[in-house]
Amino acid sequence: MNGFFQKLFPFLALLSFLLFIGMVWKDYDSPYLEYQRKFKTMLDLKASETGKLKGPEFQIGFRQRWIRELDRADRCETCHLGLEDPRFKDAPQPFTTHPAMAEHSYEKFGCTVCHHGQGMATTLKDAHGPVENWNSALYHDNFMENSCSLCHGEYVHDQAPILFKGQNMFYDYGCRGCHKVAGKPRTLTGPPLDEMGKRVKADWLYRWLKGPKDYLPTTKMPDHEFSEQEAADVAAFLLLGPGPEGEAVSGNAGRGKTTLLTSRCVTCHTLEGKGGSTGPELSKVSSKAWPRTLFKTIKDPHALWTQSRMPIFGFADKDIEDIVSFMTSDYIDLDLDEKEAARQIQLVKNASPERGRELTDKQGCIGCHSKIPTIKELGEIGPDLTTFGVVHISLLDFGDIKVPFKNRTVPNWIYNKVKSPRIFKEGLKMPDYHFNAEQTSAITTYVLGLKGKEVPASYTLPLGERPTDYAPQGAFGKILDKYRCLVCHKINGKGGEVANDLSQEGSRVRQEWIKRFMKAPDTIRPLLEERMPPFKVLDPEDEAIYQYCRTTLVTDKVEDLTETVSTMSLNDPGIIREGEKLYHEKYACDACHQIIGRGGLVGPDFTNEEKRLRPEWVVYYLHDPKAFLKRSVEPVYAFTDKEIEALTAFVISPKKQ
Amino acid sequence: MARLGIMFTLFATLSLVFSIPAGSSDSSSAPSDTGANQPRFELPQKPTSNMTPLEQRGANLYSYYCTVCHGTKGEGDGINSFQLTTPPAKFADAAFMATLSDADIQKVIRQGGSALDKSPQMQPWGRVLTDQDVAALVAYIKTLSKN
Ligand code: HEC
Ligand code: HEM
Repeated sequence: MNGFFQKLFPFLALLSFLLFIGMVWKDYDSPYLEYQRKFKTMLDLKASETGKLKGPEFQIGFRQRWIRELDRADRCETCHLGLEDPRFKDAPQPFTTHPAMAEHSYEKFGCTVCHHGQGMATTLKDAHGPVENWNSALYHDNFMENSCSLCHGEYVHDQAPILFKGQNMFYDYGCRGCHKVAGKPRTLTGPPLDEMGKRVKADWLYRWLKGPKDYLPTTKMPDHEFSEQEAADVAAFLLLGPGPEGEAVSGNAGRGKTTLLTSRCVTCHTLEGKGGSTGPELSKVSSKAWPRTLFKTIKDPHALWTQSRMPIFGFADKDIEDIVSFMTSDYIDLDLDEKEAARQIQLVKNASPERGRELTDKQGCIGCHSKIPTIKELGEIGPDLTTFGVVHISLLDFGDIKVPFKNRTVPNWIYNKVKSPRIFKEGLKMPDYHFNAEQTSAITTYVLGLKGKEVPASYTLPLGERPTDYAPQGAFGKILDKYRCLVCHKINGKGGEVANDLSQEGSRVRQEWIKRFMKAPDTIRPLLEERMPPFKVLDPEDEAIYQYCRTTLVTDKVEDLTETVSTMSLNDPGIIREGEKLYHEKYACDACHQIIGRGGLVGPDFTNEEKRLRPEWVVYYLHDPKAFLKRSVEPVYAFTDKEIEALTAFVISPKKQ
Repeated sequence: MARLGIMFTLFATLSLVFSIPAGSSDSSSAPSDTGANQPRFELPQKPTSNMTPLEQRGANLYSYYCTVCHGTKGEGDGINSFQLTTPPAKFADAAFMATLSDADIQKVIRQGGSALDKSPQMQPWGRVLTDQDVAALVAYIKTLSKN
């Protein structure tokens, strides 16, 4: 026995010695040294290409940046050696030059604050991850923009379009209805659900609950993946209470059609595949809503839903009856299977409203919809997402799905959860929005950006414009509310992007023009598809609009020009002719602007400009078009004062037929 | 001798233990498909684009500023082109593009058609676009004649 061990000893001793040497060698030959040697040869090669014999002195060894304020130590540059050297633009990784980063110096930011990964690691695998017990692997390119929000806050429109899109989607699609995000108010994104029986047809409601996107592909309502029975139960619950009122609407469908087609509904609604996306598609609406509801919606949409984006047009009751008659006869679902619809109605009739109520409760419908009968205010049934962007991976349940370790990352989990909410576990409540890959990436990016962290003041630099809470009082406030102007127009930082900004409207156009345009809006920019609808603006209203524009929606930059303009000879035929020459020959404004049918379609038509634009405005605009609209497509010229005078004179002169 | 041997053995065992790689939990199995409707775990895909970042930037600027005249594919058939007295340049036309140097294209974009004795209907964008924007546009425009 003893003899056996004694014979074994020398071998074991040798083995252990070799292992010892191996360990020491392993420590002295880290993989990064390999990269550094390669980089050194590349440097020498580059130097010899430029005629120099040897490259600059290259120190083999660790490279680390310590960003104290951000509490980070990044060693990425130990291997990523060519980051700041433009000569390595086409070199393979890890030597590639980093794309220009004007304001993000390495000294100030390091690498991982944007890219994530394990800054202190020096091996390929450890640095890029995923690594057990180290939460954040390198971000996938798709999600990189989430880091921007750390310093730049939100609404980073131009610089981080994916993050911006994700953020808008998060609130538009009502994610906030179930998920709390500290500092963000919950807004109800869906319509109220009271008196559904008065409003919609039972079979439609059933089909809607079964698959909202089948009826309205652009809807923001998610698919709750109800079974047939569940959908019928929920429908039965919502339909409790009074049924439809006074079926018949006896109008003249022919006249209704004319009214509808001339009222520019397509600015917001799609009809036969064409039109805007602000409101829902209309061509099947009569298979959904009872005629009286259509009537009421057109008459006063805000009475049914205070947040509705639809303006009150001010039609006479007779006109609305005509329109509704046309809609009832023409806007029906031609593919609807009558027998199937009858079966669905029967299904709903036999369903259990009580089970429907429970389901409505469980699914958290109250997160987006108000006035659900007999349900108390609850909402926010999902987890709080305030800091979900930094959630620890060990807290995320991948369920029974086998995911290779290298793919078990927080972004991948969020992405898949959003893409198919019930992927990790059956029977979860989160509904399916059927987002495509691009939308899912955008939402994931936003959620990853919810870190609930603050960076030192020297790092914060809010970019982008966040919506203001502009809300005028008085007569003008009422008008904005009635016609929902801010759905399309922006004023003082609040409102939509569909039509032009009105913040300086009073300085821009003439009094008579505002009044006439409010009563009978015509086309100003031929290329735009969204046209101002012809509201029935009342007499005191147009005066109020004008007064408000002229006193409040003005800018001193234009008003201060009155004196300058008064010294100009804008009526001098010689100067007008000079302007005409500049307009057509030197600057070719006709490439974009039309006069009596000649010229481009991009900018406003100048045929009747003597009635519309104020001369001060034209002078101001020609000096600096970007002051009006940052993203204007008007080129910026360097006019002389004489040229501005001549061009202004010409633009606002009456044009000869 | 025996003492030394025992120490070496101990050392060897220890180093063996420590040199076993730590991350052994890596089970690289494919996603399981249970049931036909079971959603699959997906890896987010990078948007497939064969453009360089510079060209991508150029493409965005192009669609914002230039398509109305030059057309989405550079065929010179933008919606506004039919209103012009001079037809806009066709970037999709390789023979035409071969006659333009990068410097010319840059100059025209910055200073407008008049800079090269072409029609002023091609506007000067030099005060709207940065140098990098113009470089991006040139890079993108040149890709339009390549397929
Ligand atoms: C208002 C219409 C219009 C817009 C907008 C426009 N162009 Fe042009 N462009 C033209 C016309 C017209 C020509 C042809 C000029 C000629 O051949 O005389 C032209 C010619 C060109 C040429 C070729 C010049 C040459 O040497 O033949 C280039 C390059 C060019 N445009 C680039 C651009 C870029 C880039 C943009 C967007 C920033 C742009 N254009 C926007 C109308 C336009
Ligand atoms: C020197 C020639 C030009 C003159 C004198 C001129 C003049 C003007 C004026 C006075 C306005 C303000 C109208 C208003 O506020 O309602 C305007 C707006 C506009 N112009 Fe021009 N323009 C010229 C060339 C162009 C060109 C070449 C384009 C297209 C490439 C263009 C596109 C537009 C657009 C889109 C607007 C609408 C507002 C905006 O986006 O800024 N213009 N122009």
